[in-house]
Amino acid sequence: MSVSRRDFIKKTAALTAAGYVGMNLPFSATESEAAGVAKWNPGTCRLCGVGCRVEIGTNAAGRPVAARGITKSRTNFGYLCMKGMMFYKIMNHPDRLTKPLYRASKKDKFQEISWDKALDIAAEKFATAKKQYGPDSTAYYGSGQAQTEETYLFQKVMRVALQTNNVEGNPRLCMASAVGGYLTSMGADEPIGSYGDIEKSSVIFLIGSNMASAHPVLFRRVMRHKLNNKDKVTIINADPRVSDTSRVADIHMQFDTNKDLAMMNAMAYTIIEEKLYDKKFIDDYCVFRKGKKVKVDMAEYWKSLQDYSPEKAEKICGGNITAGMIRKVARLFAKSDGTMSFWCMGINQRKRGVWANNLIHNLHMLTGQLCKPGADSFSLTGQPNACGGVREGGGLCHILPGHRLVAKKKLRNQAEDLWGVPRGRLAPKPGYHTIKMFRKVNEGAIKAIWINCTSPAQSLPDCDKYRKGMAREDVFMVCTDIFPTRTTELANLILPTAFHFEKTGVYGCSERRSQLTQKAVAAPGEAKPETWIVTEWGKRLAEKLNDRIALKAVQPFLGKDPDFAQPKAIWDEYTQKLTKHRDNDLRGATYTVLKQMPDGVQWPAPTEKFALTGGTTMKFVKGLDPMATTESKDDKPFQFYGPAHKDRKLWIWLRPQAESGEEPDANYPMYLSTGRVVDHWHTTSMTGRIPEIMRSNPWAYVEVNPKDAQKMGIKPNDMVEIETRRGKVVMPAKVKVGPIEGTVFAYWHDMAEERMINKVLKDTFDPGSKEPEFKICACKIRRVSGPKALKPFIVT
Amino acid sequence: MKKKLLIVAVLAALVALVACTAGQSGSSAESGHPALSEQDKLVACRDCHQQTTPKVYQEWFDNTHGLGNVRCFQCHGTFENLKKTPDLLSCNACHADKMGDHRSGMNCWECHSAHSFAAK
Repeated sequence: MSVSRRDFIKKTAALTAAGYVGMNLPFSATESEAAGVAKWNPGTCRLCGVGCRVEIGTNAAGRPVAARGITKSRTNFGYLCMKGMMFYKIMNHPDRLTKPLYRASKKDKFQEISWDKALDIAAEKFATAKKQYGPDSTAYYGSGQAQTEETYLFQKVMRVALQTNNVEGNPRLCMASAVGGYLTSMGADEPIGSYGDIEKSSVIFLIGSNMASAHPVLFRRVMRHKLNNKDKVTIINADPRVSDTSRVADIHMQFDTNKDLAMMNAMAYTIIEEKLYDKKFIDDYCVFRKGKKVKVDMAEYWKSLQDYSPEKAEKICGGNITAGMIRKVARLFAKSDGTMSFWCMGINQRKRGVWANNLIHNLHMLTGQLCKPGADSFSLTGQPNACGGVREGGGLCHILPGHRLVAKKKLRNQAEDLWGVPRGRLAPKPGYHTIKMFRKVNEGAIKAIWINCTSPAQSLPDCDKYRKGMAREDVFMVCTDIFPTRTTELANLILPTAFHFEKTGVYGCSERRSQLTQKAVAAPGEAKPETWIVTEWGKRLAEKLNDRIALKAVQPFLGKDPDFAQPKAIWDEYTQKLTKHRDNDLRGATYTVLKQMPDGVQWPAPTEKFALTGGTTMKFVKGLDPMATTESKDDKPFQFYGPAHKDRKLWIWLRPQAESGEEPDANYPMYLSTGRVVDHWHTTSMTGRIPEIMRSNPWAYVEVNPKDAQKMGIKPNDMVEIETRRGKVVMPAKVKVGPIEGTVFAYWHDMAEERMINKVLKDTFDPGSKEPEFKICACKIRRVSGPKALKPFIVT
Repeated sequence: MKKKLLIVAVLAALVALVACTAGQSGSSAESGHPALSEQDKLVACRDCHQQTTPKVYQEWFDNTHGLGNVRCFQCHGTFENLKKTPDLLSCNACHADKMGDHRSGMNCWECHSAHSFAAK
C-alpha cells in the first residue's frame, strides 16, 4: 500500500522546520537551461580516481552551465556519475575564495591582503624557519587532486630551495599500501593491465571495495559486463559489509572484520592443494619470499599455509564463509580464462595493508592470472591524480619524480643533474610521512607548513589531536584552496586558487593514463593557478634565503603564461627529463599529443608516435609495452623490468593473518569502520555546495546491523553515540544488512563537529606503507535518543 | 462598515496563508511537486518515493540506473529546478552519443520505458 509523502515524512521524523539553516544555492537553478551551451570544453573529472573524460559546457559569457561525458573516452565511454555531472555548479559559488587572506595570529580575524604581500609573507616565514630551525622545520602537504604540474613544482621547491624531503600528501591516506604492495610483489608501482580488461574477464574478484559508491562509472562497466554475460561472467564481492556493489555479485563473501588475510591464504591453500596453479608461470616468473632478503621455496610456502586450510579459515573468518565457499571461489579464480581483482580502501587503509595487497597479488601470480587479456591484479585509486601527480611526480617523502627513491644516492644524483643543481644539494634522508609530519607539527618542530588542496584537519585519523598542532601560534600554516574548510579555519594565510577547468594541467588516473585539462573558464576574483603561486613564492624564497641555487627550482618557469605556457613548461621538464627511461616514461605524452587524444595516454609511452596509439594497455608484455622489448633480458614474452626487483621476478609472499591496531575488548566491544557514500567527495567542501547532492545525503549516518540494533534497542534514524578511546560523536542510525554483526560503519564526509567521525579514529599505521588504518578500530555504541531534526553543515 | 470588515477579513486570510506556508517552497504551481519545508527537502527523493510511488521506485531500483547508483535528481533535478519529465539535457550528460543517431523529434523514454529503460 502506498502512502502520501506527508505521511511518510511524519513517519521518518527528524523533520521539523525548526532550526534549519538553508543551503547557499550556487546560482539560479534554471540558468543552465536558459543560457545555452556555446562551447564544449574537454577535460577530466576531478572527483574520483577513475579518470572519466568530461566536457564542461560554457555559455556565450564563458560561464559553466552544463556537463557531459566524452563518448570516445576509453575510461567512461561518455558516462558520468552525479559528481561528474554537477561539479561545474560550484565554480561560480558565492563561497569561492577570491582574495588572499592573512592573520598574523590565529586568534585574529582574517584580513584581505594583496598577492604581493601574501607571497612575501609566505616566503619570509618559510625562509626564516629554514634558517633558524633547519630545513626539516618546513613541510608541504598536498593532494591527489592537485595537477601533476603543481605537485611536481611544489616538491621541487621543497627539495631544491628548502632542502627538505618533507613532501607528503593525502594519497598517503589512501593508496600508500597499494604502492607498497606493487613494489614488494611486482617490483614496480601501478597496475599491469587496464580498465579494458574488465570486458575481457570471466571472473571479477572485488575485495575491500565498494566500487558502486566510490568508483561508480567504472562499476557501471562491471555491471554492464555482468548483465551482458549473465552466465559467462562471475562476480565475487568479498567484504564484511554488504554494499551497493554486492547487488551485482554472484557470491558475497562476508567475513568478520579484519579476517581477509586468512581468507586469501585459504584460497591460496586450495589453489596448491588442488594443483590449480600455473606451474610454468611460477617457474618462469616467480619466486617465494618471507623477507626482503629471505628467499624460500614452494614447499616452505605450502608449509606456511597449513594454518589456513579452508576448514581452519572457516573458523577464523566467521560470517558466511565456509570451507566450501573458499574452495569454490579459489577454483573459479584459478580456472577462469581471465580473472581480474579490484580493491581499494578496505585493503589499503589497514595496519597490514601492504600484506593484504601482497596476498591478492599472490593469488594472481600462483594462477598466472596476469599479463593476459581479462586478467589483472588492479588497485583502484581514490583520487584523480594520486597516481599521476603524487606517486609518479615525487609527491611523497621517500620518492623523487619518476619513481626514484630518495634514499638511493644514484637516483638523487640523477635528479640533481637533471635539475641543474650541484650533487649533494638534495637531502639524503626521506622526510616525515604524514602521521609523523603532523606529530612534528604537534610538537612544534615544524614551524612552517603549506597545505595544498586538502583538509587534514578533517581527513586525518584522530583529527582533533592534530588540529591542536595546526592551531599552535608558533606553527605558520598556509592553505591553498577554493573554499573554506576545517583546515583553513586554522591557517595564517589562505591563498585562493583556480579550480579545475580554470587552469591547465594533467591528471593521471588508476590505469596509468595521463589526461590533459585545459583552461576553459576564468577563475573568480583574484584566484590564481597554483603553478603561478609556487613560481612566484619560489622566486621570493630564493631572495629571502639569498640562495642562487634555490632559484633554480622555479627559474625555467618564471614569466610564462600561467594559463598554458607555464604548466606546459613544467610538464615538459618533468616528462622529457625526469621520466626518461624510467618505468613511467611519459616522453611521448606531450601536450601536443594529449590535446589530440580523447582519453590521454597510458605509460610507458616513450615516443609521440607510440603515445598517439594510446600508449601501453598492458605493462611488461612484449608487443604491447615498448619497454618490455627495450628492457628485455631474455626471450620470454613477459619482462618484469620494474625498478624495485633486481631479479626481475614476481615475489610471492608468506604473509600470516594479523591483528588490527585496535581489536574490540570488553570496554569497546565492536569494530568501527568508515567509508564513502556515492554522492559526496571527501570532506564535502565541494559536493556539500551542490544542493541536489547535499539533499540526497545531507549528513553522516552510522550503519548498524539489525541484530546489533535489536540488542541495543536502536531503530532507524535514532541518534546513536559512537564512542572510542579518542572521543565521541553522535549521528543518526541506518539499520540495515550492511555491516556484519559486531561492526558498525560510519560515513566520513560530514564536517559538522558532532558528526565528524575521523575525530574518534585511531592513527595506527602500516609499518611499511605508513598508511593509517581508517577501516578498523574498536568502539562502543549506544542509543542517545529518538530521531532529531538535523542540519547539514559546511564551513563558510 | 461592510467594506472595512471585508478588508480586514482579506488581510487576515493573507496573514494566515503566509503563516501556513512559512518555511515552504517548491510549490506545486512551479514544479508539480507538493510544497515542502526546507527540512522536508532533506529526505532523499528515493527514500520518500519508495513509499509514495513504489512502482516507479522498484522500476528504477531493479534496473541499470538503480544498480548503477544513478539518482533521481540527476534526471529530474531538485526542488528549484524540478522536472517531472526530464529535459533531454540531463540524458545528454551520459548518453551524448545516442542523442544524434536516434529518431529525431522523439524523446528517449518514448522507446525506452521511463525508469526501467527496457526497450518498449
